[in-house]
Amino acid sequence: MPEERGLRAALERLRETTCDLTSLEVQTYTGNLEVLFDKDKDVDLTSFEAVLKKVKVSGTLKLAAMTKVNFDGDTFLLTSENDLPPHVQRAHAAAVQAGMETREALLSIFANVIGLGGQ
Amino acid sequence: MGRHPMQGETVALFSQMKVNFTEGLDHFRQTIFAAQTALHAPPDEILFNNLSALAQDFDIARSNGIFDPLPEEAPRESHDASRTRTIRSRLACLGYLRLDSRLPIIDPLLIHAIKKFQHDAGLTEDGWVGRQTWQALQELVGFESPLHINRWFAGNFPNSALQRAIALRLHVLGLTDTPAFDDPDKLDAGLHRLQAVTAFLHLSAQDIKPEICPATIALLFDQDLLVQGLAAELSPLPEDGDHPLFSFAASLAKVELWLAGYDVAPDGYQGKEFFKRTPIRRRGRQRMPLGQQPLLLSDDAKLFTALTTYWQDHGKEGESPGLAQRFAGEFPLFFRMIDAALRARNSLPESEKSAMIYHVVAKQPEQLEAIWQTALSLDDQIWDGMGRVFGWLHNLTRRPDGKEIVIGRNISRLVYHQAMTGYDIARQALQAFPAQLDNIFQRELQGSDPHHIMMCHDRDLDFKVFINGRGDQEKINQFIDQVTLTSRSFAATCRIIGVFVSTLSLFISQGRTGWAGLILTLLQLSDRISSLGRQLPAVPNFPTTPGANVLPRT
Repeated sequence: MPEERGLRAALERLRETTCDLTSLEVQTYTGNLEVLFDKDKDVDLTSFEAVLKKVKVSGTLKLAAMTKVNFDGDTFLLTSENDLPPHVQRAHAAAVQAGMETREALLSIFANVIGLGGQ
Repeated sequence: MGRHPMQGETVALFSQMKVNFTEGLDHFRQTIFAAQTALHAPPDEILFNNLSALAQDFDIARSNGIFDPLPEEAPRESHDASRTRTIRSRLACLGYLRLDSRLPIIDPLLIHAIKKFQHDAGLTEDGWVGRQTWQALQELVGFESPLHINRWFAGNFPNSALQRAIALRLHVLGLTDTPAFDDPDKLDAGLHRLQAVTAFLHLSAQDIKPEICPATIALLFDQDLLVQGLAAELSPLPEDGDHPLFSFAASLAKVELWLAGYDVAPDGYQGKEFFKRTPIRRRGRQRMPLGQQPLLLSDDAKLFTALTTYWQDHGKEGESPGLAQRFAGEFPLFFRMIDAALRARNSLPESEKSAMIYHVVAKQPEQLEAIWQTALSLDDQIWDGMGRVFGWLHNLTRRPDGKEIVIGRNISRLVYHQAMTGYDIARQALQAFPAQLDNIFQRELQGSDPHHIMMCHDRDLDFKVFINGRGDQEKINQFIDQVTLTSRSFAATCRIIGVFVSTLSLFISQGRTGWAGLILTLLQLSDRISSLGRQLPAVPNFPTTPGANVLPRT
């Protein structure tokens, strides 16, 4: 059935992808990409890594915030300046939240569907 | 095909496993890999098998006619006779079908009527009642679904579907003798009667004008408010027995009794429910003027029988026929009882609803099949009045005499409705899961744009965010909202599936298998997962897949 194929494909991706869920790290960078767009027509703008690499070379990239959450309860937050713009703060917080929720969701479904309990 | 989570050696193995999340994820991972070694299968294979089994359980439940939720796309056929008959009946009520044949089939006439309704209501004209069209019918024909007035206006005027619903409502409330779909004079007369009733009952702070405007429509479709109006102290009542208040009260009583599960149809005022008794003329006494003669309810009216039963059910066995017959003078008492039940319903926390039903049903699980058959034969009553029935059950469970609650029509309605809610949500989650999982494991999050914001993660789901200093803040905020929504939705999906499967497994391990186990599971879960259900994305139809049978059979 179609949804079974979809399920299998998705779970195969899960098998290939999931490694260490014991901690979460989020890095938020800011920078100015205008120069890059004008000068470098070859860069693949759909690839985060490629863009980031080019920005690093152009020297405009700045690590604005970094959060590390260990699931033993410790959380670290580093910021490059005291007053991050609100939209940068919001983006960083959203990534942290997404990372936490995704981890908890995966654990929840493994725990319940495989039959380990834990609710 | 797939194995159910609590079957055979899997049951034995996992029942012995203890996972304590406070010991950390390393311990969790070790536990999973220990299971993998013992079962000769990786945990994701077990996960896959169990989810596949659940998907097929749902298919079987649907193809057996146990559940048939609203599809997103037009199916070739529907297994749900109850819902098809309800759709047919509602379209006939609104005048889109000349007759209600009650046939539980989707024929060209029905499809044509659906398309006409969809056209009038400004909906997609696909000829099938999906969620939108069903909701539209609920709002216009049902008594408990709140009407969202604005969506029914085309400019300054109500669209054709709402105009028909207004004509229907005036009839059902006893203000016109038939629905005035194509008779402006009759519609106008009905609106004047409504004005007379609302003025007498002081139902609105402002005088209601005899015209179709938002204030009139809001009042006409607010069933609870109409009940409150008739429950108030109303002395003296009009002396004129032809005052529209009496036909209005009788018609509203029919609606309320029908919603509460009594055997009477909400078919408006038939003109023969009441009669005037001429008092015996005694020597030397003047004949009572016609206007002062008592207005009595005829004992051959269905309303009389339903009211008599209602009063018997509410502890007035001896007085019930008299109370029913004197309805024209005693109706405030009846509506005060209804109003009290509505208030009890409003004070009932959502979390208690399923628990209440579950406790009643769990005592007599052998009744489940009978409950189901009763529910499926009730058609329209399944889809309206649930709030009132919850109020009824709530009052019953609080009665000091400890009278046993009989499993009948109303319990059947509640079981069906509550289980269906749970089923629909769990099914949506199961459908959404593959696409969501696929989306979550894309390295670049959907919507990333280097002109504004990019977000990606690595194999360990650690995130990197890049924000372009020259980006549009509105677009950045939109992207952030989308990321938040996506992760929340995925979390809700996983939790729903997880809780559903583990509870189902528990019932199966207790020997409650087959669809009875499924229904009990859904009953217990529907409240827990209904809040999560609101976070699920819209999903395409869940196709029927006959063949493999993994639903544990009784």
